[in-house]
Amino acid sequence: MSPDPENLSRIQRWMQAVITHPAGVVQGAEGDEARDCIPTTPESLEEVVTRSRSLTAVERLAIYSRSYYARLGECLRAEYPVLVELLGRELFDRFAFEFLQAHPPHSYTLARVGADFTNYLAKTRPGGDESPEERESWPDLIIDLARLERAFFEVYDGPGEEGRPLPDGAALQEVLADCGREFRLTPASCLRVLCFRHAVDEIFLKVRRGGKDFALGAPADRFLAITRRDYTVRLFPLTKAQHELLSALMTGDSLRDAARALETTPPDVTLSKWLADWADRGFFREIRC
Amino acid sequence: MTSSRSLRRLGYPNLGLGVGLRSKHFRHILEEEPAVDWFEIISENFMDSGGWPRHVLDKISERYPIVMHGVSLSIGSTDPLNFEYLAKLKALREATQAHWVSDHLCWTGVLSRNTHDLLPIPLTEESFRHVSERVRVVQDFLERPLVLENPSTYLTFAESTLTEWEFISRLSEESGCGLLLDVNNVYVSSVNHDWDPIEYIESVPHNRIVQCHVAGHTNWGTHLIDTHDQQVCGQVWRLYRLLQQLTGGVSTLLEWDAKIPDFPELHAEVLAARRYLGSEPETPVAVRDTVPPEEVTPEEPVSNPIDFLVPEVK
Repeated sequence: MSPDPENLSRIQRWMQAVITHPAGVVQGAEGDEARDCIPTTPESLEEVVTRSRSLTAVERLAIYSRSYYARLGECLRAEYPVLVELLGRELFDRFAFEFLQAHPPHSYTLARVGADFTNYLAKTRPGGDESPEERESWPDLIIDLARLERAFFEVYDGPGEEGRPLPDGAALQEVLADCGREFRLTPASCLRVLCFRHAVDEIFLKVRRGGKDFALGAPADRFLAITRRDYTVRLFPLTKAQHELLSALMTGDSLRDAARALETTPPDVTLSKWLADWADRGFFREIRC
Repeated sequence: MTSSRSLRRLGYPNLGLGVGLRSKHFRHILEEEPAVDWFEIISENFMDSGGWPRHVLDKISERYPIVMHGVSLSIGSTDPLNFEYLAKLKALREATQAHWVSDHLCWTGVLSRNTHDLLPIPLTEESFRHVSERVRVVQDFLERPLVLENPSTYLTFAESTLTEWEFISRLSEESGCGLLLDVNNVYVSSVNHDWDPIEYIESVPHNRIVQCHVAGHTNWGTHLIDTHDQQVCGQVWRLYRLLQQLTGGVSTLLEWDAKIPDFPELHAEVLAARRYLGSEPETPVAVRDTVPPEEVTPEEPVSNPIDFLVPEVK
């Protein structure tokens, strides 16, 4: 075993602190994090990084510094294209820049760079300490849209049920006839059930299909199921009762318990229609009697 | 070409002329089955995928040879190696039957962070011992020689005592790893650090070079940036020709990660490499040298671009 590479470790911690500092290389080199590793000043940087014929040490470090935020910002814009359209590039980039300072990437994959973006937006929402009735609703629209874009991204590239036979509507109706409401359903691994405070799915689909002019309607509860079949992700609007029932089924409740918990228990014929419809869309992996 | 195609380096074959697999071309490749010799994938884009990208890769790997190229191994970092990542790398290699696994001589972060950049290491004896040991651990884990690429770099360290070609040559000889010589990166770094790219290419151990990359870059006036967003320039093609002569022929891969053209144009660009293979005099064709900075767009581009998969919406 070689001894610990202390000098290499020091220079790497120093360089990371310098090039990721939000105010730039000079402030990065003057910051505590960098100075704890190598106590340089902007003037003495060339004792660590050499100058070239054309560039000083600061200018050479700045290439990495600019690329750090530019690359990760580009990645977030690719993951949240509808939000970019809604906010405009400048405002989105500001949110992204602040987010990256609070949540620098740790994973080996760029696919996780934006995983905490929605939570970050919710946590830093203006008016967060006001009651829901008092506060403005536009931040909710931004947060909802970010949640939908992240869910879409995860369903697109996450695990799915392709190649596996799924129970269809006829199979479900048969089980309903045989077992009544005493059965449970295993959801497809790609099924997500979400509720929003705005009809963000309409904006999402319009923009992703190339539309530019989208109307921002008044806040209204919106319930959605998102799933993937044959590698195509689809969004399905739900009613509030359908959302509650499906959410309960996804947690492992029997149909009887899930239906009982609703404000008004739907009749068998309604339940049968909902479940058959969802099964035909590939919502369930398995029926457990 | 037959004789050079049959040469094997570290047990790895010469696969011919390949291109990087990018999501923009998924449908074209599946539907048209273009006559490409092989594809290189960005390992991290597929190692966790359970959706369309992975399905496409599975289909493509049934028909074409695959090579895995990673960007997050961080072989030069002083953070511990990530064995969960290595296990996924190995599983993907087994699933795709990839011919080899490559990454870069760089570090991407410390203190558990990943900057997603290919950062330069000081070229010292200490770094050399550290990287060599980690290469050996990775190779033991993967049970194959690792292949390491020279990255484009934009700074050098005052404490460096070795040239990059000395470092990478010794690393390959002592640890047993193979080399992926990126000819564009040699050229970009040579301009940025004021050294001779021909000396670099002549000095590395040619029998350990498994693969080479060619790509386009951007001339920013005071320095070059490795942008992978345009055709390969004349200087890089001439270095490529030298490399092919010195090695007797190695697998060639064209990288194109920004402003990606349609597949036929991309394929035509890698096929242009044929003009520089063998010992025949260069066919006189119009190939531009590096674009002068006055013709470059005013926004400074991102260095070391990385392909990132995003969903399509139908």
